[in-house]
Amino acid sequence: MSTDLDDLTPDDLADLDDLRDLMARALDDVDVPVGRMHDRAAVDGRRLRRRRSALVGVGGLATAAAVAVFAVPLTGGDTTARDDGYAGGHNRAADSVPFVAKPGYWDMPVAEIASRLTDLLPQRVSLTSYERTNTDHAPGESDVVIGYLTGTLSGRTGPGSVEVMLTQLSDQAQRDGAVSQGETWGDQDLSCPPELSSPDIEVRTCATRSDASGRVVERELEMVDHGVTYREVKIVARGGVVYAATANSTQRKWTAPPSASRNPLTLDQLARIATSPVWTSWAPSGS
Amino acid sequence: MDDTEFERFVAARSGQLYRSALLLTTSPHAAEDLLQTALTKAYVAWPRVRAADDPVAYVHGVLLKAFLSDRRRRSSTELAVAEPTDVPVPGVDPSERLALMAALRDLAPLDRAVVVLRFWEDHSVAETARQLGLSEAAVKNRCLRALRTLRGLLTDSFPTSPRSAR
Repeated sequence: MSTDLDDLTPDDLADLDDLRDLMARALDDVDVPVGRMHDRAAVDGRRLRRRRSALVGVGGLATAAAVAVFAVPLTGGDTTARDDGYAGGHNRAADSVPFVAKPGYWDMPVAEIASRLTDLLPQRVSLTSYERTNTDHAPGESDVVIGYLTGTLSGRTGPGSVEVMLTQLSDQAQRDGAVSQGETWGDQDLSCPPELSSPDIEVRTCATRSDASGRVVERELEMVDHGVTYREVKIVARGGVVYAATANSTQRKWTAPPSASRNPLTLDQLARIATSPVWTSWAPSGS
Repeated sequence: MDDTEFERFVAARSGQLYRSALLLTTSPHAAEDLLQTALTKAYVAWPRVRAADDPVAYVHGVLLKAFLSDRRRRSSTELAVAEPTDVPVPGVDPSERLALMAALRDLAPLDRAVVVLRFWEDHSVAETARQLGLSEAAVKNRCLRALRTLRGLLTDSFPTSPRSAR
């Protein structure tokens, strides 16, 4: 052991070995609940990874601008367990009932999402590339991207980005959606951004649609952030959320320069894609 | 890749990680929570843990960061209260552990972290300084202060310790 021996008195030096011995004796018989540790880490880890996957879309395109403006509603709550890289809000309310993953349309493989998206794109717009491999998967997770697509569109005016995200709502989030003002479903916020004072960010459109009970189940949003137009449609449907977004920038970071003069999809075109039943009608085999 | 690799890691390393957590937190319940946090983070970031030069050191670092950030978060809002430090184990005299935990609890969390890194995990001054974001001089000062505090506390409250027997 390298040590600062010059600074220690004889008593301090004697303490070093005594302290090590004391620690060793005191902790020798400590019982460690290894099985419980592993099981809880795996369960919590999978839940957090799902949460992170859901928030990849939220932080990716259209809401990138919105997040900058109303980050408190989106990411409010506990922020623990996030300094290793996974991001996003941790909603304590949504955690009062453990998240239970259920099979559903949110398990759609990325190739299937790409195929269905391609069929829905308007003429002269095409999906030119998308991420096919999950390079940051957890133990036990497939390296196949499941439930979301992030890719590049080519349009008449130039390239842009597209994201499709299919997310399961927890039982608790669905109950929260029923008891809140109807705009929040767990981590999914369907409220409109507040009035903005930033000259660089402009909310051009924000429209919501509610179901018969008054809960907001759809939001269409168009924002301009530093010259990039972000369009997003988010829909609560069949126990999950369908999210589609596009931007006239192929770079996934704030204040990136536009890659085209206009967005490859209009808000109406994007809404037609997001509301298509091709997403929610899919089910994993065996479910 | 399946879960087996992570399961093996937990089985092989939880003991040492838990003991470090126990020294840092001085409470079995808090230690379990801290280890749980570290293992969950390791699980989520498993590809990065596997790719690290020293995966074990990586997770020890995660545990230390979680401890320090948790202390920062709590320090402004919580008062320290006495809490049970141990569950008796049949056939084992817990007095040494109780005395050690009580003494460690009297140290500032950062001083406690210095002690754990230097004398439990056997890190050098330079490595301890790097992990804690301190200068080497600060680590030495904190180390000396902590040792002298522990010596006084353990002499008073732990009459059968080897230290007090001299």
